Amino acid sequence: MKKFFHELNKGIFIENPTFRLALGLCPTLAVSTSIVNGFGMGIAATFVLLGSNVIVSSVRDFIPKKIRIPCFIVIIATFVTIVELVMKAYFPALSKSLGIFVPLIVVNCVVLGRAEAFASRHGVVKSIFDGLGMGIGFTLALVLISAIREAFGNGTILGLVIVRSFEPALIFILAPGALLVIGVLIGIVNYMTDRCYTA
Amino acid sequence: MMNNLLRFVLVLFLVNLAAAAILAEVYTVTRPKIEAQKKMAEAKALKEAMPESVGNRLEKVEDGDVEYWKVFKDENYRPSGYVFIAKKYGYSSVIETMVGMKRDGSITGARILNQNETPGLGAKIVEILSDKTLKSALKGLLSRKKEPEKKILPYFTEQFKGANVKNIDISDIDAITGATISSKAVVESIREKGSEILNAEQ
Repeated sequence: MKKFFHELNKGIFIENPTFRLALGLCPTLAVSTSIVNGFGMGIAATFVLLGSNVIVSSVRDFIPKKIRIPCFIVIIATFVTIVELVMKAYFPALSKSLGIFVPLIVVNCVVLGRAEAFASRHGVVKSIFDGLGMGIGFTLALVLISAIREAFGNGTILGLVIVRSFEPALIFILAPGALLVIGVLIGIVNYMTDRCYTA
Repeated sequence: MMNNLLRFVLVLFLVNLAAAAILAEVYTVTRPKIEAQKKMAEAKALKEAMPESVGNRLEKVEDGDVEYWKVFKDENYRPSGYVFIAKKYGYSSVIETMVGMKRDGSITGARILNQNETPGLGAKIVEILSDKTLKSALKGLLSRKKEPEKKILPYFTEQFKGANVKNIDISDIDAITGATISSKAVVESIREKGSEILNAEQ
């Protein structure tokens, strides 16, 4: 049980996909403009990660090594399309605001990276915990980044105005602001991890 | 060698077959829901773009690739207004706007139907700004007193009300900061399509 817990845990902090592995930065830059968008993207990616990890790990003996990448891509794309259709049918507002970035989860390297580096080498149960942990880590990172960007760039938190007199700095909504925020956060997380593990 | 090739083809075929079967199933289940959502959004936009369209006769006109609806208020044979969907490519997608106008071309309302502009920037053309601040929202949570919900409208498209399609210009309205291209596309699509219809009608 402890082993499984480790797989869940590592995605959240030690191997956080955004801050430690630096994977999936493209959607992170693009959708982390508001907390709602960041959270929605995180949940969608978590579902895809979980689904693709389960399927990839359960068919890993059946797929020849040489054609594993196209097989993984098809599996991932299937889950992404399911997410897209379900979102359009039941959460039209979220689907509208995430727009093109939902279909682009297909090429999110967190998903393919975990399929290739973890799920194709480990059992189903371990892969479930790995996918879940990575998904939660990705979601937390997105929410953290988007909270900072929304507060400074739009002057709101969850769409509520913080202080009326504050004139938001648009740069935080634009791509340079995202890079600045991610860079500073990666620095802080790495500093903290170093201190935790060397001390 | 040949054996291996056959195995690869077979495995890929099976994986794709399974994927296609699952997707076909999901698609058939979600399609009616998606259609219903789209219809609902369109009906709502129509109501907001042309309040007079509710309960009155609509007549669809298709003239080549120009497509719009005439709104008849009473038994007159002259329509009291027109509703049309204006389309133009913005920054990263085609922006579709439903617009209602009177006979003289003054806009009764406009609503964005579809867009895939940059979230946080161009996508603000559909933004609905809450009138609550963090403080007032927290206060409202604590006091448990239900305040009456005010109807909040998307501020960007609300500005079009009263403007005339023949000469509406980006300089007449407040464009979204940092998203000039998206704002401009909406305004220009309305001017082009609106003038086209007015010319065809007169």
